Amino acid sequence: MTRYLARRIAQAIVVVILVSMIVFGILHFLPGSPARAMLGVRATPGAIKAFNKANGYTRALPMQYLLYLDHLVHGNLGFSYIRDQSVRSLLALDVPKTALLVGTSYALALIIAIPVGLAQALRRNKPLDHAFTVFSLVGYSMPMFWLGMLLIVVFSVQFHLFPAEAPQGASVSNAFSDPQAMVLPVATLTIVTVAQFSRFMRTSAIDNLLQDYIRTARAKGVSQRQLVLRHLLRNSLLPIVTLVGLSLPFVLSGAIVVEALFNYPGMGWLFWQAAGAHDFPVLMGFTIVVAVATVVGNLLADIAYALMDPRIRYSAS
Amino acid sequence: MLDVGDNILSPGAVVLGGEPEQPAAGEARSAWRTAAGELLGNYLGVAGLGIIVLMALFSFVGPLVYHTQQVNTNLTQVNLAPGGKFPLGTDQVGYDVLGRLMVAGQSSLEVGLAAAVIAVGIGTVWGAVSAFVGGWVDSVMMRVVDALIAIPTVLLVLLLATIVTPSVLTMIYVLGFVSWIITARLVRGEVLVLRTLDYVSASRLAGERPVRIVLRHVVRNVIGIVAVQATFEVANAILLLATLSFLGLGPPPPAVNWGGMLTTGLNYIFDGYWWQIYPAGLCIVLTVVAFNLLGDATRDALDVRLRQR
Amino acid sequence: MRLLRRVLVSIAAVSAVGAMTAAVGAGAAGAAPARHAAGNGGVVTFAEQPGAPPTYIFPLYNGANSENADITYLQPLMWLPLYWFGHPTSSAATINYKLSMADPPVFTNNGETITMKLKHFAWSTGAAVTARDVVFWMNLVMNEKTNYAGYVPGGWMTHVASYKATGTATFVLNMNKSYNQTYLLYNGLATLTPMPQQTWDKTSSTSANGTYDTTAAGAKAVYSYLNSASLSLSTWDTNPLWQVVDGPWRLKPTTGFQVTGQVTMIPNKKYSGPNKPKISEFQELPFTSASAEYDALRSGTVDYGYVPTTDIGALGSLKASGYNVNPWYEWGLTFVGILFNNPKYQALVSQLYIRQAMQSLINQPEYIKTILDNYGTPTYGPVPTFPKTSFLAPAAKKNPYPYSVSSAKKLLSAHGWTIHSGGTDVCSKPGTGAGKCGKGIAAGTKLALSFMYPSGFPNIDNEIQVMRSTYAKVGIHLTLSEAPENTVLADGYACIGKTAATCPTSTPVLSIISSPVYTYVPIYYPDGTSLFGCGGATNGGNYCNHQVNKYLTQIESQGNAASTNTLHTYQVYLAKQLPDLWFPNAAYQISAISTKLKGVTAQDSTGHIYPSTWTLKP
Repeated sequence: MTRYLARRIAQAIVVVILVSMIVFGILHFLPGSPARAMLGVRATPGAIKAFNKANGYTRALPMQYLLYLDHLVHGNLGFSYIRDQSVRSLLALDVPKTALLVGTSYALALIIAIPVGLAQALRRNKPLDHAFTVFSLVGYSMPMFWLGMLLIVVFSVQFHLFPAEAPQGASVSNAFSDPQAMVLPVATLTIVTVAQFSRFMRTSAIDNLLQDYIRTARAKGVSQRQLVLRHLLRNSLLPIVTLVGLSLPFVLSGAIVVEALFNYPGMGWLFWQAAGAHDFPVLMGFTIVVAVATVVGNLLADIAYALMDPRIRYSAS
Repeated sequence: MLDVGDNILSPGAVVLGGEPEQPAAGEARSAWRTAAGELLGNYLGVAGLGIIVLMALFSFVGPLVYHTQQVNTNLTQVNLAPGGKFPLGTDQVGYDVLGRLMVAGQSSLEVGLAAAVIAVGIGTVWGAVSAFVGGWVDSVMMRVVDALIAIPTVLLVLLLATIVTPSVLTMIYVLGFVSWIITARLVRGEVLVLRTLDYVSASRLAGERPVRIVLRHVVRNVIGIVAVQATFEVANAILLLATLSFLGLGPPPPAVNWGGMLTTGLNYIFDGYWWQIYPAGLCIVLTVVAFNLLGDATRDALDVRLRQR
Repeated sequence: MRLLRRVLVSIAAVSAVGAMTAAVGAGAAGAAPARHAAGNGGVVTFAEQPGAPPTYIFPLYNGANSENADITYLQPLMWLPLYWFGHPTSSAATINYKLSMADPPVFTNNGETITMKLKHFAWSTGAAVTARDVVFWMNLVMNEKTNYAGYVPGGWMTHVASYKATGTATFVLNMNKSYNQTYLLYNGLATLTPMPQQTWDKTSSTSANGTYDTTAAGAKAVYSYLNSASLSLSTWDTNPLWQVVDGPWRLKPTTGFQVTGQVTMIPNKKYSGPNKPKISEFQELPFTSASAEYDALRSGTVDYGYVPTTDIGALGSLKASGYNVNPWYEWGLTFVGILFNNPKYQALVSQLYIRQAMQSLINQPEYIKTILDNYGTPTYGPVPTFPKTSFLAPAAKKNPYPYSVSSAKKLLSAHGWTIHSGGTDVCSKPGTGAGKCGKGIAAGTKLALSFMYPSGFPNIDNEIQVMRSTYAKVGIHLTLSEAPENTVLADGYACIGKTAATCPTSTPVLSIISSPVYTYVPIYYPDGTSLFGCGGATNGGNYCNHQVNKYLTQIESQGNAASTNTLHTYQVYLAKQLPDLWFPNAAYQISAISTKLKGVTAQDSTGHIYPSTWTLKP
């Protein structure tokens, strides 16, 4: 187990370094620098030169990358050209807001999707199963921004139940003083995630229902309630553990759209703005944070999986 | 919108450590026929196929039947409600919306198909090479896959969009480039299993070159998986294209896609121009549902084929 | 429906609970929603432009920080420039001596010596604003030219011979070149801003106040200190530096600024100039998007905001709930930039007749009426047609190239092009004589151009679509590309100052950014030297015409009457020469002003706001 862990952690570090190289490569693919984008129409050649020098764009690309890595390991994520603040302080402000949005949606999605998927498996090919299958099919076939917009039209414009705008304050605590405003963004992200998770849970449970141990348990006269809760749920949940880790990037993709749509000033929104403005340090910093989150998420999921399922062999390749 | 992540989540696509079912060495025609039969027996799959055909007819044949002006704007007829000359009204620069949906459908379908082809193409080669060569090459190639999985698709696309100028062609490349990862993992898993099978080892002993072995046996065996994956990728690419348009990174005029129409319409949602929003949204949902249905049905059919062997 | 409702209610409940648990440990103070305070004049709230919060407080600002949020909404409310441009009661971007800190400048010695006498103004510390404070500004700006957004290479700052304070209230500037007086006032003296030398002349927060600014190295050190203090956004409202002001407002101590961009200002009780504030607090609110701002506006938390361009269709309810709607135009120009040194298109765009054909295919009045919903003004030349000033020549109020598809067609076919309506024209008579395509255009050359424009602006998107379609009618093919505005800026200016050999052919030959493309702020004189002069610092297209340069030199140095005449001749000439394609100037914002807010009689085209003239009626 220790060796397996050490190996997985080493892999995780390699993956994060690769991510930083890929993103750095993409951002610096074009010659030149973001100087003009930063300094505007009026920028003089002298000002552009000074900007390039101050931000290290005059050095060779590998040097720039190494310099970035050096800063990174010292906890320096750079300085946002646009916001005139360190990327770290922007992160400190925005990550909790996105974590709140994504965390709440995740939790709700699991709470809803697990029983729904299980119920579908147990009532396979019955009306209930069909109804939820259609729901989940449409749920993940819909552009998320449109789903969000429909919610706005119905619940905000027609019935005035919830505001169309997420909480606007600088700190995450604003979301609590205004929970009404969080409803539609969270609902949008949750609906799409439920569509994904329930479908997965259904398949997982159906697979398990066909397994021998269920038949054996049934033959032994275990009650339906016991069977579902003890055996079926537990075993069907195993793949869900992996799913939670793997789906993080997907949910964060959704967060970018939801934040853009509901004007929620989280990290997804900041990333979108930074992409449009060539604010390279912000783009780099945020991608790396997301990558670390995903890799750690996967690592934890793997470990949890290994702990829950003793059958797994530590022969990861 | 849901992107490649979608596929990570789709059942059967996840590499959980469970062994894929092992195909037999012989590739009997009857097995494929069984699969085809199974597919036709699945009414949802047939419905999906039917919708796809209808959408293709609507987009590509529709303009031949229903003639509209889709080149020149006309500021004298902007934002007209449906009725009379315009069954679905007009948009902000005076295009007929129904005719516009047809033209937009062409790009949406073309981009979706082309991106899917690129994605499964890269993915298949990457996965097969990785599995077949093995060793440190495999390790490196798989870490690259891990790295790309760790970057949310929309993030990756936003990054790419800062360096490429959006056009229909670059969209295809970008979407293809961000969507090959799942295929690579699936193919690698499949090839890893096939590699250990007798007939591959046998041909190796017989002195065939590794590349030929891959081509002759392995790729032929993973074709089913790839076909299923490609179907899902079309759906994903269409959604992702819509999302890109929403984020302001879609291909510019004269190119138009359903996602772009939907996004433009949504700008004016409080002005009451419903005809600029709902038809385009419906086209996207219908088409994506159809491709997902077809993909599901094909996979089920393939499972039956494998099981019957 | 009932089930759905219950599900939603439970989702709301669960999300609130989840939110609570996640909040433990993340308890930073948030921005309280703005409310009208009772009595004492009340609190007025003003909406910042979406996604553009202030990020720079130090009035010596650089190019990266020259958003209105910094340079018109924030700094001038606290630190007044020596000469104030713009008016609270009219839109004209002209000198306003009443609000200025100095008497009109006196020119002697053939105009090379300028004497400025300060009126009596005081810092909030009680000390008088002196000529030494102007010298302090000059010392810093002359040593940090490239870090000052108002610096133009080769401009007036290059010709400063010396400057000094000859008395506590008299500042004297010596030039080594004689300038036109109006020109120097509008482009040079306009940028002078007294800064509190007694409290700001230091190189670190712990160093004593001194006279560091008198040496070049010292001035750089002082700049560096003040710049870094300004970049420390979270300390704006606690740093004592920024509390020393001479304007009517100051930041509310400890709560006056949040890093998201929320500004709270309170009256400077020691303010000694005209228009003392009547309201008790002035707040500027940041918004992530125009629609976020619009929601706040409709809910009544904003007194002075704006309507997103996509929502102009439904203004009735807003007006009914107590808002007046007025467009706000800036002192600037909107145009499609033409890149003259892209080797692929150079030969084409160098031909005046091709530019004329392109210009006559832009139907400005129709764009303004149908696409901009009448919230736009036409651009016909280098001097804005709105607000009307004496700078605008009577002959320049008319469109030199009115919309005409047939005349565009005629121009092209008369110069040897075979017209393919809906397709792409082909040059069939190459050569340089009359009736030929012109120099460098080979037979078979296609009339196709690349055009880049910003995404996220529905009006621009519609205008460009119409433009592409109109151009196609005459066979001018536009290959469009759409990108975030900063990308357009970076790409559109990629070849500035480069030779054709080093300019990549992929650079768009035509490009536009959101309106106005260029503002004459804080360089107020509307001749556009740096925009249209050969090698001008902001001449992104590398347009170069020696006749234009000759006019520009004359305008700069002639006497006042002659200079105005030359400006008039020049603008009519340049309008016809088409250094770019003139394009409708959309309103900077369509303001929505609460009917309770009194005293907003005009919107200043320099972008300045005058909250000290406002009152709030309950």
